[in-house]
Amino acid sequence: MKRVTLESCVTLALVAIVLAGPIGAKNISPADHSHGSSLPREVPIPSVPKTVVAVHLVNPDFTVMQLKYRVFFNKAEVKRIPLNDYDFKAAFTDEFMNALAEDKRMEWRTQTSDEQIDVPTLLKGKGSPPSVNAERILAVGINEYGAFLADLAADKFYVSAQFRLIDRATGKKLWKKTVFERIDFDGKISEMQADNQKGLKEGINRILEKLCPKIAAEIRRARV
Amino acid sequence: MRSIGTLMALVCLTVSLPVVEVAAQSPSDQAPANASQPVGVLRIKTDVTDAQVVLDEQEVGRTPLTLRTVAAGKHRLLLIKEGFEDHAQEIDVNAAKPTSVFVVMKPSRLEMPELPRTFNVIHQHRFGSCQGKLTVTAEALDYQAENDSDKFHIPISGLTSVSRSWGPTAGTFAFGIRAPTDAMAFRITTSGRSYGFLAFQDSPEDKMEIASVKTKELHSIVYRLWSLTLKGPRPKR
Repeated sequence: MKRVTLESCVTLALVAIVLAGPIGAKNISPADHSHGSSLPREVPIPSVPKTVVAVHLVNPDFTVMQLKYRVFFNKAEVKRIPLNDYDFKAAFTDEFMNALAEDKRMEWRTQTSDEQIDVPTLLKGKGSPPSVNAERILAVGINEYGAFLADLAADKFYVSAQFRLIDRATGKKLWKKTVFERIDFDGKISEMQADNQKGLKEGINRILEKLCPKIAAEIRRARV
Repeated sequence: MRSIGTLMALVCLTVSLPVVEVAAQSPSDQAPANASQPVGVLRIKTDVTDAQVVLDEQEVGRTPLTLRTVAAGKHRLLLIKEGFEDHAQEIDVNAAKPTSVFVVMKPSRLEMPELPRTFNVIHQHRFGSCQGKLTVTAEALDYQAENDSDKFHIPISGLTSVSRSWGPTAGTFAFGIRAPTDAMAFRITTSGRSYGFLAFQDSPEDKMEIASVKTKELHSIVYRLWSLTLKGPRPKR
C-alpha cells in the first residue's frame, strides 16, 4: 500500500511537470498556472530601448585639404570634388547600422523620412529632442570626409565626425565622441580619380570599414 | 519502480526538446549546401546603390547586402546595374572572419554634352578679376576677356587638377569656412599655375543659386572630359 502511494505521488508530480512544459522554457510565468490553463502563455520580455540613428552630412563632396610648405609662406587650400554615383551618407549609414547591429542592448533603426531630427542642434546639446518612436537618439554629424595632402607629412584619407547618444525623454547625454579618423592615402590624387573615381571611393570605403566598427565597439563598452 | 524510470525518461526527453527547436529556428540568409560545412559572413557593396547581386548563378538581393551564412570557399559573384557594365569576380569567403567586397561600377556609356560650349565667366586673379567667355571643346579650354586684357588656351590633357575651391587662387586661406560647395569657384590647375572661374547666366550680379548652377555645370563638363584622360595608379611590384 505504501509503495503504491509513493508511485502515485511521483507520477502525479511528473505529469504536472510534463503538462507545465519543459523546464528550459523561459517564457512561462507562474501567473499562467494560477488560471488553470495547461498551455504556456507568452509574457512580455523586458523591452530593449529603441534607438534611432540620425545622420547629418555637412558637405556631400569629397574634400581635399592641401598644404604646401614654402620658405617664406605656406599655401593652404580646400578643394571639393563631387563623387559621381556615390552617396557617402547612405554608405556610412549602411556600414554603421551593420556594425551597431551586434549591440543587442538596443534596437537600432535609421531615421525615417517623416521624422524631423535637427542633428546639429542635438550635437550642440541644445534644444529638446524631437518626438520620435524611440527611447534614445544617436545623433551623428559628419563634418567632412576626404584627403589631407601635405608636403612634409604623410597623405591621409580622413573622416571628421561627432556622435552623441541622448535619452529622448529627458534630453540627457548618455555618451558622446568626436573623431578624426585617418588611414594612409597611397597614391596621387589625380590617379585616384581615374576609372570613375575608383581610388577615392575605395579609400573612403576602407576608412568607413575602420571607423564604424570602432565607434560601435566604443558604444558597446559604454555603460548606457 | 520500472514505471518511475519510464516517466523519468519521458521528463528528460521533454526537457531536451527546446534545444532542438532553437537549433531549427536559427536565421539563415542563404542556406549552405551542407549543414556541416563551415559558413562565413559576406558583405557586398557598390559605389552606386541597388545593384542586383547574383551569387553562384542565384539572385540573392541588392546592394548593399550582408549574407550571414554563405558556405566558406570560392564563389562567383556577378553585379548588375542598368547603365553600368556587369561586374563579375570570384570571391573567397572565409569562415573565420567576415568577407567584404566593395566594387566601383563602371558606367557603360559616358554621356557627354554637345561641344563646344561657351560660358560667361568671371576669371579670378590673385588680385581682382576680369570678365569674359570660356569656351570648352573636347580638347581644350579657351578664355577670352571682354576687354582683350587676358586670353589663354589650356589643353585638357595638360590639366593636373579639376575641382571646386574657395578664393581666387591657391594660397587663399580657406580653413574654418563651413559654407556649401555651391558658393565655390571652378578651379583648374596646370603644372605651375591655377585658374579660377565663376560662371554666371546673364550678369555677374546673378544670385548665387543661379551662378552656382552654371558653375557646377561648367565643372561637370570639364571634369568628365578630364577624367577620360586619367590613368589609374600603376600596379605595385
